[in-house]
Amino acid sequence: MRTTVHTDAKTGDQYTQVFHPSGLEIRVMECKGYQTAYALFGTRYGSINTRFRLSPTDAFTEVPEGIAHFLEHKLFENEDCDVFSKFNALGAYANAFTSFDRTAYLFQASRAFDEALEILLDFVQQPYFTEQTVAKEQGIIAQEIQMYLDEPSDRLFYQMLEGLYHHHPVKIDVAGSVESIAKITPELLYRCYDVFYNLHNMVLCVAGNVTMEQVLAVADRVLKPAKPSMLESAFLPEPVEIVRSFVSRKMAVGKPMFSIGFKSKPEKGMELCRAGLVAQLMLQLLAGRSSALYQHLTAEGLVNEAFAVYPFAGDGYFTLVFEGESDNPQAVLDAILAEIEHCKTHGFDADHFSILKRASYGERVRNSNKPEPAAMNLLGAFIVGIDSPFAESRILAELTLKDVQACLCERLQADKVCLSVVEPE
Amino acid sequence: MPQFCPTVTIGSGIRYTEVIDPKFRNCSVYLQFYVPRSAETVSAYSMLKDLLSLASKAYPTQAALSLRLESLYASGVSAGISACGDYLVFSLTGNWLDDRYTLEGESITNATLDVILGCLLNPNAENGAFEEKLFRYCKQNLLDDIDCEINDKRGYALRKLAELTYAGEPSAVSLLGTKETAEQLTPESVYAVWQEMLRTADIDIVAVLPEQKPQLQVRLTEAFSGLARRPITLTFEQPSPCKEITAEAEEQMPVEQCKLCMAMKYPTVDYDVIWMLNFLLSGTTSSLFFSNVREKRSLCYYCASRNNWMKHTIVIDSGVKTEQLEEAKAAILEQIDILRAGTFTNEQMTECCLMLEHAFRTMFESPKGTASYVFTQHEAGKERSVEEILAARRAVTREQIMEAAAALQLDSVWVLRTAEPSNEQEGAE
Repeated sequence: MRTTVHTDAKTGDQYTQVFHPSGLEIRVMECKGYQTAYALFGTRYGSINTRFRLSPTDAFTEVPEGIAHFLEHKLFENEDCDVFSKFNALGAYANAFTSFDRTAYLFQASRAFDEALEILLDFVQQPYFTEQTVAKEQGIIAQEIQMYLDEPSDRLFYQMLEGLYHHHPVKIDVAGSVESIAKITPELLYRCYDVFYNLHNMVLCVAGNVTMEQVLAVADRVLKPAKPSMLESAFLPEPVEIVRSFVSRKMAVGKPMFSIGFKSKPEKGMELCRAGLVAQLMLQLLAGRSSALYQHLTAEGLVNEAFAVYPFAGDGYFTLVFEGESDNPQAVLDAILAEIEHCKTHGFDADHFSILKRASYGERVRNSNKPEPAAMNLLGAFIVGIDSPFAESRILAELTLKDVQACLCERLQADKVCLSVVEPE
Repeated sequence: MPQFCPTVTIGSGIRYTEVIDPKFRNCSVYLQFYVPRSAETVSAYSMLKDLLSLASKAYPTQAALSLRLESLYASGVSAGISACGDYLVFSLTGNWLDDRYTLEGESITNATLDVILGCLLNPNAENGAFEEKLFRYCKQNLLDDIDCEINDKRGYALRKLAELTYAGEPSAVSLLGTKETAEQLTPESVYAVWQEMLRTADIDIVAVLPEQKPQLQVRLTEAFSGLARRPITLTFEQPSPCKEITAEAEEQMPVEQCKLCMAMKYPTVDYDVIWMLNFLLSGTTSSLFFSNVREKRSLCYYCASRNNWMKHTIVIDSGVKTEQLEEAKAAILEQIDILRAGTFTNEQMTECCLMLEHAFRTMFESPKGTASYVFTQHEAGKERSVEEILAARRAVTREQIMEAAAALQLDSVWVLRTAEPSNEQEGAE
């Protein structure tokens, strides 16, 4: 087994990466002083992976929207029992989640870790779908979808993505729609399971009160070796241009809400990690709480405490988001565009950049040794295709003002922006 | 495990507890001010959370304070309000990176404490009034928050249920207040409420630190020593009387999903028994609501219950289809009947205790959880170790749960009902 120990030069944190003979990559970080352990069994399979093939000569298969999320729900049901009851009997907390680019099954345990890990690895490797259980789940997930349809922040966000992306499935709700999940069958679930739940496409990330030896002892016993696959999950070619610059709808909200998205060039692997960090810093410099733009927006009464900025990026998409509540969203957009032009011309302040870089370091260090965020970081790095989340510390230390300035010029283009608004009924 | 130092009194009605846990990399101090929950002052407290966390005398604008905190490795000052029975809790939290992890080994503890205490005790105010510009911004935030309460449909429905369930009691008062009470606020009136809070609130402070920092207790003691304190006396347990006839109300809104909220009240019941009862209902994925209402009957995605021991009330809520409202309500009440009949399994009871044990261990994995353990102990009025709590809950019998369930009475039902099919309007340019 190929084994690598990764160390964070700043904090001394270490994690061990093992390539298990079964095909599964295993990442374990011991967190000193913590009593619990947090385990994530994840796959590179999220809501955006609706089009795939297993050989370059095959035609692409297209599956209903929301099927990754549906599959996540259904895996918790085995032929003989409900998986949750097994975890409950150990006093371990279990759950799962699906996002745009990943699905993960997890548990957190403070005792009987080995037994809980065995249950996790076992149930994810044993799919069981029938017409009856699929029909039952359609009712539950339909309620989940309807709950999210009433979430104005969700509608606002997806509406903004619909304004930016012509084809990329990031614009589709993670859970799909009531109509799309009605098309899901046991056969389709087995097909997606076989394709995406191949151990070569998966990772086990564990952090906390645990050792690699413990994890390997269970993995050796439970994992069923898998053959490498030629999985290709592809998207239709996405134009550089946006779909539309303005989208709105009415909902039961108290004040107009806006989400402003700038579409920019997607990245992969280490470059995605780096670009995300640069974009995060650049957005804080431009519109964070200590920025001139934020002062202007609040002084003019254009935004309130709900205002936020962040990059949103993954396989095939990279968007920079400004969101909040305002009686005049168009004026907010105009002010943002004006400030972008000002900063492109005059540049960011070097001292401000140094302060925000230090703040970013402080935020990272605080939580990096806690089981849950540590395991999530290990998973996140795997999903984007990098060996270690500690790479972020090194990248952050090396970032320069020039990098941030370049990001501003390249990623915030006035003709690649969509203003999404949810207005009160 | 964290090391809990004995709680000490550092001023009239001011408790201070220090907890040391070397696994943490940040230092946190949590200050809770317990004040009466009254319609006259809630809006002022809600505004204070912004006034005292967005600026201070030394850093008079949000930009200035943010920049200072960012220069201290993203130290944080935040404030919030929450309900605690018939009281309102104003919380101020400060946190900062432990000195061991700064890039040049510099200490930031004292500098961060200056900022935190400055926000609380030296805000941007003079001559008995908050600074006008900051005040205007915070007031608009409050008005926006009140308007936007309907954005979160689940939270809105629960708030409306509380108004119905606790009508005439302090617990019925919304934490934000109303637009009318917010509109009436002035820089002077909110300043007076701030002064009143410092003088009369019961104050509980918990610091969770990776190592001893003796200056913290000293600084806090000094900071509060200049105040002429007349703290209120707290009585957390104030049971809400159950209505003779179940109160029912509803509201219509253009939503996809209905929200069904129910409140059940109980007479005096042993705290550990009612805790077990509530956990059997919705504490785990083997609980009655999850197993029977969601999984077996596919009636909902979520169905949850929470116990408010101070008001002797269990609140249940679920998101359901309009046409299944009655079926869902009946299914929920059937689960109460299962408790009354005692037809739940021993495994379900054992799992509740196992999950509780796990919950305690998880709680001590974060500074916030650790602090909340201390606050909860103080609110309960009796200090028990984790082992004592676990032993008490393991000792709860099936018969005790049946008896407690038999005493549950449906007090009120509030429904957010779908007005009509959603009518989305899209526009494009």
